[in-house]
Amino acid sequence: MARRRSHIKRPANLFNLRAYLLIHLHTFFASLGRFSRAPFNFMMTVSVIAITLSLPSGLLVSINNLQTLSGQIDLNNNISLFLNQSVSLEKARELTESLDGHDKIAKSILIDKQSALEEFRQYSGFGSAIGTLTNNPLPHVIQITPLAALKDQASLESLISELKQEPNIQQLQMDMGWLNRLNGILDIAQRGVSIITLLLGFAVLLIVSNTIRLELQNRRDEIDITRLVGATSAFIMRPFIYSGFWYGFLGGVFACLLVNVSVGLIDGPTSSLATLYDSSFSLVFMSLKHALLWVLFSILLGIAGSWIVVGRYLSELEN
Amino acid sequence: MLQFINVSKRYPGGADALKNVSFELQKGEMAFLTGHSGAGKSTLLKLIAILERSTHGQVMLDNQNIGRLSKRNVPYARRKIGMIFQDHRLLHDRTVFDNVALPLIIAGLDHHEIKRRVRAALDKVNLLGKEQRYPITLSGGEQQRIGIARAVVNRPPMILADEPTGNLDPELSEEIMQLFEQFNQVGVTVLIASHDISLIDRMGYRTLQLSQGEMVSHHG
Ligand SMILES: Nc1ncnc2c1ncn2[C@@H]1O[C@H](COP(=O)(O)OP(=O)(O)O)[C@@H](O)[C@H]1O
Ligand SMILES: [Mg+2]
Repeated sequence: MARRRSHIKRPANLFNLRAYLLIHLHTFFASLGRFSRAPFNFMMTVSVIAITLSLPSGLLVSINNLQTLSGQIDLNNNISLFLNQSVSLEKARELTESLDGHDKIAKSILIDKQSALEEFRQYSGFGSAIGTLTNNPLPHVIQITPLAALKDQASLESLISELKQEPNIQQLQMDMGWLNRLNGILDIAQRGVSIITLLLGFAVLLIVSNTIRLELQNRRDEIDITRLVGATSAFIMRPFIYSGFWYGFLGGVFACLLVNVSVGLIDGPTSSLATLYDSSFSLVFMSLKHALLWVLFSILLGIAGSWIVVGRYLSELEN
Repeated sequence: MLQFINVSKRYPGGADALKNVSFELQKGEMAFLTGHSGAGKSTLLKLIAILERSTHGQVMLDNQNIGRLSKRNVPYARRKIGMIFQDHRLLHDRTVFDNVALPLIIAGLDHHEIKRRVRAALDKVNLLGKEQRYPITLSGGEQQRIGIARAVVNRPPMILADEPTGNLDPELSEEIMQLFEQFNQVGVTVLIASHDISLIDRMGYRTLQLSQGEMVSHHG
């Protein structure tokens, strides 16, 4: 009498795309409607997510800005060549011209020792003391600017070692050490931000989970009743997943806004400061690509957070 | 249509709510389930709606052992049963219309069909015109009728009612019972748990009697 095969099954072959989409649309707007009934709680959670995510994304933008800045410093990085005291002015001019023709050097300027001394006399405030000197203690200096293409360390170093072979050059000075250190620090900082992102991402997951858990508790009766009349787990989860989506989406968007508004606020003063140093440097904002990635990340966290909570609740139910 | 074969139910940590219960209900039949409080009436109905599972024995619905149904198939089995509760189990933040529409929304029907069927169900229970009201603004009898409309809107082949008249006065109880009779007349199998003996006697349907978890009589 009893047939072994179950005939109460999911009507997979009767799958109706239109009905499916309708249910989704319905739940999508229903979840928004629920928020409009408790806008304060909703905005609170969104704000917490936004602020949490604005920390790592803001740090990344700051690092990007420092990298851009150090890149620009790199560009007008000059090398000063101090010539031997014995080198004559003509010899120095010759050398300057030959360096000017070098294929790795953009330009070279000779600062002859006489004008260097004049300049020093004028600006240093030691004018009278220098006037007592019988010999000019300064050497001729050639200031060279390497080609912009020579940004990486290796090609710069090959140029430097080439210059060191030149017997007329006594000393070569390139104040790049701090720049390398800065770049190194920025690399480490970037890694640090990855860890912070992971930690704060986890925090967002917990924030969403907790909010959804409260929502779930408030709606336990509704869930029970919905299950009584034949709702599947997917049907029950759907509105919570959408809630998670909205939390994540809006939290992510507001995080990006927070960061960019902050950049905008300090961009003005930064630009005026840069003008003082004869630089056209201005801050970079978060790129659209990065903004999209942050929003996507946030959405994933929102969905995952609610999925974990509701999924666990449903799987613990007996029937 | 429905068959209990030596069914026992023991709640975890509790006593036996049902002991070796066997009976059969034919398709299109209407019957009452009686017994004093704690006899196991609700438990028996819950086994049919798979809100609980039997400890021993088989609950067969349409020749299928529903006690063995996997969790993911349970919702589809429940859609074949309209269940009515003494405490109505309505969503109080939704309108009458939305409450009745719930099973249809779950089933994924389209908007027009939902509207048509909800109106038909509300018409049957005499609540047409109160679609946009909230359950709390209606009387106990009306709320029970919302629950009934929700149970039948999906046109299930079977209706289970757990003390549907428990909180109602005799006149309203009679009305509710007449509604069940009407559904039965169009072929729906109906099983009603109640301890209102006088009402049951007056209606003259088959009666299944439980006493302390045992089926002491199951004949008309
Ligand atoms: N969830 C439960 N857990 C433990 N015991 C229960 C539970 N539900 C009911 N019972 C017990 O099972 C017995 C039958 O209960 P029930 O089916 O509700 O009876 P009725 O509906 O006839 O009043 C009672 O002794 C009751 O205390
Ligand atoms: Mg009961």
